[in-house]
Amino acid sequence: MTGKGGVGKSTVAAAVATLAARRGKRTLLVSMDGKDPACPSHPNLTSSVYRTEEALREYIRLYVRIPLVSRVGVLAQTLDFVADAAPGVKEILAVGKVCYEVRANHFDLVVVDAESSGHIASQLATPRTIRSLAQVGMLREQTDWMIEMLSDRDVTAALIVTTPEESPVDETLELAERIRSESQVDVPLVVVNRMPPSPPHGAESIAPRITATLTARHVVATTQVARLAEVASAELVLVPRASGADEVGVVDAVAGFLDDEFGESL
Amino acid sequence: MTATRVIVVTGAGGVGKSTFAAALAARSAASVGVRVLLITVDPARRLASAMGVVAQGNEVVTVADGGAPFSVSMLDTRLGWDALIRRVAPNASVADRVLSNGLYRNITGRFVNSHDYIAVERLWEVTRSGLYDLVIVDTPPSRSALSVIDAAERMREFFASRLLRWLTLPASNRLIAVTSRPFFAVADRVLGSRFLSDVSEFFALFRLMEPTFTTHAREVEELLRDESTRFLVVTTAEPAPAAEAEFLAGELVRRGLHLSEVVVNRMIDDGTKREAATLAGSVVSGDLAVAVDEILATVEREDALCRRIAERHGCRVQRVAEAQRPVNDVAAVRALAGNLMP
Repeated sequence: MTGKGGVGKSTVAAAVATLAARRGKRTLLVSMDGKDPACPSHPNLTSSVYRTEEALREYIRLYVRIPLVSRVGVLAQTLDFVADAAPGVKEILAVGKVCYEVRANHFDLVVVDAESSGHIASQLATPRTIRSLAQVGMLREQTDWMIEMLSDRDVTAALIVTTPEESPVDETLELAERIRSESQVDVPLVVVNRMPPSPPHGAESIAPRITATLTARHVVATTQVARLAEVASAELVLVPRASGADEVGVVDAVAGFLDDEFGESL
Repeated sequence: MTATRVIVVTGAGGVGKSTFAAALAARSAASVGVRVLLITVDPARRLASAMGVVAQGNEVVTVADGGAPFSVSMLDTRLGWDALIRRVAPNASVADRVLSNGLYRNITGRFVNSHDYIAVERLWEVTRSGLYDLVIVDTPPSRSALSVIDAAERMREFFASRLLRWLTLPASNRLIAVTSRPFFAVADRVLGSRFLSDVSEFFALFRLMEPTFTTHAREVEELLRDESTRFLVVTTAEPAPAAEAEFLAGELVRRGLHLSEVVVNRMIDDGTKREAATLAGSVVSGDLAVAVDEILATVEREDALCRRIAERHGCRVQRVAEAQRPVNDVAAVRALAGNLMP
């Protein structure tokens, strides 16, 4: 799940994960932005926050058999530096971590609340970039199976979340194109979040201002949805503006809506 | 020493931050004789082209639609880095070697969020130029705004780090240091030794630029802390951006920066609010009742947010009503500017 910042990407990702869990799928929700995912708890749902430092340590423990790994003090600093200084290490770790989870097969579905638009295309393309930058070494060796997994349409899909406004839609169209061409990851679906309700019917005479305000919002939204439908080459899922007492409440509301609308097919 | 005032506009994504920054520029330019530059990061495409800003390049354009003119420049990270390298390199040959290093091109372009540092660099450059009385900087969404602010300090830390020093030693010296061995082993196994030596060479070149870089970073930091530099946080009353705005406001204050105002954007306009309040007492049903309830709930949330911000952060709260049409041309920006608080 990706999309421009502020469109509700994390909410939609959490809602999809919640729905899958409720439908009996063993589901993992991974947040890439360092914030704990807000979602209702469910026995089938495991959520985790991805942290570069931990991932790097785990990676080294598993794949580079170096005795000193236990000496955390010196090493922590070293690891940070490797990740900061060497281009691609952070990205490949993030992509790699998710790929490992998929390969380990403990879950039926892994939902990644991924980086926002600016980063995701190059992140998804990292295995390919690494392959061209690093001639030898462990990273290089591990890029092949990752590339295969990411470009397999039966396994991996990138979903873009947007709101029905001009700027996020511009970015969505551009992003879909970039992901498809740079990483060969499939983009089958665009989620249009926070669709405003239709203006109240026949209320112009008693509520002219309210009608005007809601009509204006609705016109903008439908115009942008029409644009997406025409250009995005992806299926659209429209999610109404949801409200809740807090973030978990909003996630619950969106999950409920998705269930009513698409439950069986999902 | 600089007479240029700076306003840094921060906030979560999707709250209309770039548009607000443009309106602020337009309003400030309306004061006679104030020369305003807007450095923008990610404006909506149509607004950008309406202002005459091109996507590539750092060039400054003047918005001359007949209204008070102001200057706009889009931040180009790649060009910004190239210019910076030329400025801080001890000589042209070092600059050329850095610029042609494959790793440099990758670092600045693809992997590292190098945007942050360049934003403050560019700010430093334009405040020194003497060409502007006021520079308004639009920042990338949310927490990145903080990394823009922290970038100068991080850059200094980076150059001061022992590991950088060690990494840029010749390979033979490197092996002597016992404590360094695990690093080399890890890096070698993970990255491959050829790649690692490319990395070392790059940082060796980079270190030649250290003195200038460090001085520079300090000056940039001073500029951000200067009395005449103000920070604004833009948000909407939606729960997620509002929470982010409160977080940002707190962090700015904690860093000792001058938070001058929180802008709550896209609020329900007064006419709609009054109408909803009136109708709430009378008998309405169906869609309209739902709409009225929702509007009143939103108004309540908006008011609570404004009160909370004023109490907690003690700064001014500017309320901006939702525009009836998308603000994507210069006339709409000027109309919005006309409604802003002085």
